[in-house]
Amino acid sequence: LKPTDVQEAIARLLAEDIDETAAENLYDAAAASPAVQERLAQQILVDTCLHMELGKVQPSTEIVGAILDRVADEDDAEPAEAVMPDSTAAWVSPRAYDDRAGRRRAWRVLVPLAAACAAAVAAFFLVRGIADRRPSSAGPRVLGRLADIQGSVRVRQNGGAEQVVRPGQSIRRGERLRVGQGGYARIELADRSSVAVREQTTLIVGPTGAEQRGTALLLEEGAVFCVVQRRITPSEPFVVASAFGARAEVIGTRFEFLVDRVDNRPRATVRVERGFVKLVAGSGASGRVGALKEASVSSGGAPAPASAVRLAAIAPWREGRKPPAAVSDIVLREDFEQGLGRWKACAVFVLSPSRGSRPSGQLTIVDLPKAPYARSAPATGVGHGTRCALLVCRGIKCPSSGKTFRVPTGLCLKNRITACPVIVEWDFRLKKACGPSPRLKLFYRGVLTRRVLVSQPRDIVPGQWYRCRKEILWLDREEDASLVEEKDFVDGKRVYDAHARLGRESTIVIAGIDGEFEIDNIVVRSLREAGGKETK
Amino acid sequence: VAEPFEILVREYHHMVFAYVLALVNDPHLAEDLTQEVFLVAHRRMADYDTTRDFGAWVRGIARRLVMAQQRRTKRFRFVQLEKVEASLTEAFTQPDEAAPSVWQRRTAALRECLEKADRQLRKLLDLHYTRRLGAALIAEQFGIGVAAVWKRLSRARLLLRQCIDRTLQREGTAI
Repeated sequence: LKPTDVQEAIARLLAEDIDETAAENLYDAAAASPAVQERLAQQILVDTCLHMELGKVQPSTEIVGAILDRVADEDDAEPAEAVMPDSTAAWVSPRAYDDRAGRRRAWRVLVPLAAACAAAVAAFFLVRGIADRRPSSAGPRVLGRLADIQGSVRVRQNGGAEQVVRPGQSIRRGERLRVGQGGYARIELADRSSVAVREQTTLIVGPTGAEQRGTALLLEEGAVFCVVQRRITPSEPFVVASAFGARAEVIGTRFEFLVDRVDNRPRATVRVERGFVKLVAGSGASGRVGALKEASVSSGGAPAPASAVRLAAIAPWREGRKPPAAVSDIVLREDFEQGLGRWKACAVFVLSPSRGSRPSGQLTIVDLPKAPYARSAPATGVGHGTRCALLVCRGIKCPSSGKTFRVPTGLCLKNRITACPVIVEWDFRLKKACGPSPRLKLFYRGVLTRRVLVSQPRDIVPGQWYRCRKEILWLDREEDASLVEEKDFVDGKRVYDAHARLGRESTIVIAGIDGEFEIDNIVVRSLREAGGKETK
Repeated sequence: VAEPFEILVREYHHMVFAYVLALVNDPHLAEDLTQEVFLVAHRRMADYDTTRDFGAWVRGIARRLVMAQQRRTKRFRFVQLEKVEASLTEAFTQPDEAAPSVWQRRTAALRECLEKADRQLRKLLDLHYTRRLGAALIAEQFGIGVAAVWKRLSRARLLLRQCIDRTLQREGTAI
């Protein structure tokens, strides 16, 4: 083949407009020539890129869900050796479990005698557990300990009298924990997971009856907030159930499960902060609830479709009673004060407990006693300024009217961030837009050396809350500037990767938008505290 | 689903899809294979060496699945040629932890190049990729022969590739 023929053949090959003979000729030519192969590979890459960009050939939006569903289905498949019940369905909703067992038996025509015996033993324990909801007398196992208690918290052991608990007390399988009005408790489980228990809640920890692996809670009334720290497997599930049969089976990690009454009917609600939770009705109907979603199920009904829920609305009581968040308690308060004073802030809410906000950490503190949130550069470092600060920025010019909005339009980190690799998370809501399609800007007001758009910028819908996250990593420093890397996320979706070179006085803009907005629930953590890496 | 795996799926599914699409040139097949890739990855998670790049590991799975699939079809077996395969793999290799974005960087560079492309070239690409017209219809629109359309398309891809390389190289030196 001549070079021009190869060129044409490649073009036709990529367009699938080539017959087998021509394809064979091209294959032979390519096999004999690394140069042709190289050209072919590069053309394939560009062709693929063009198909995805111009032809809108993209992975479907459902593909992630489809993959996770198939993975979950595989995970849900019962291991062959499972004989004992592996879910609190057996404990709370015996009919549902029996049905499942019956279906399995129908599939397995020849049931080994041993399995039948084991099932009988399991059924015996099951019936006994349902009958009195008390632990077996054979030494209930310690499941965790009470890491924190406030107010009236009592526990009833083995059907005995209720006793007042003390901090650090062990919690055993089958114990019934009751948190009175104004009270609060936090249980740390043996697998490092934790369960925060709201006031006016009654909870049984661990299944009664047959010994089971995994974690199970029976919530008779009230609410719990669970943070799961281990891998969930079919043989070791993490389940929170209600007395009327509805239950939440954990797939992800952080969620609130709440039982209350509506029109005198019991109702269970699950609100998920991270990961997924399967909400299962007593009838067996189920629905999957993803992050920042909530769903409810009433007694006798099916789970309602999941709807959005704000982060701040998920178990705002989870850390128990805290003193009201005064300005003096706010992380980086001096800079907030300075920023607020300088730019005449309007509605900017910072750590307002009434809105469910809570600080979850603060920057590492070293030196500079008058600036408790500040941190000095290492003694050996070149060291520019070292303070991290958040402030509210001035408005930016409205492109449609040409006027400058004199309202706060940004949440910024002052530069001199060199010693502060951080993660900043915050809730964001646009109140009043300037322009027809406001887009949240997540960027540096430094010198951008590279900005990679990972996904399309998204229009921000006024009135809707978004959870934003910015990860800032210090890459290197020069004599008069710093090189930083950032990753930006909106509602968990990565938007930008960027590298920026920052001078001493540059300001890093965390978020900006053409309009008036509200921020809430700001959390600032150093990467080291968050388990990330600090490169220098 | 354990959360780390969910994160990996979200982070890497686009890259895996693009890689598989480059290997099979069929979006529907690429989507099916992408699902299979992650299912296999999930089953074999215990084998994954966490000190190694997850993207490379999952691409290895994708490659094996694609090769198994292509044993049943002769179409697009060019990707099995040593140099072709090496070049495709290299294009998706990530130099650092920002790895999932490498393909996105290429796409961003492509967008930039398309903006700079002259009208005739852009029109040719739109007719072929966006409107999916055949060579004969495109030839009619341009008043040229069919063979010339193929040559122009090949030339257009070559120009774009050179532009993408220049753009990425410029970014690299800026960093």
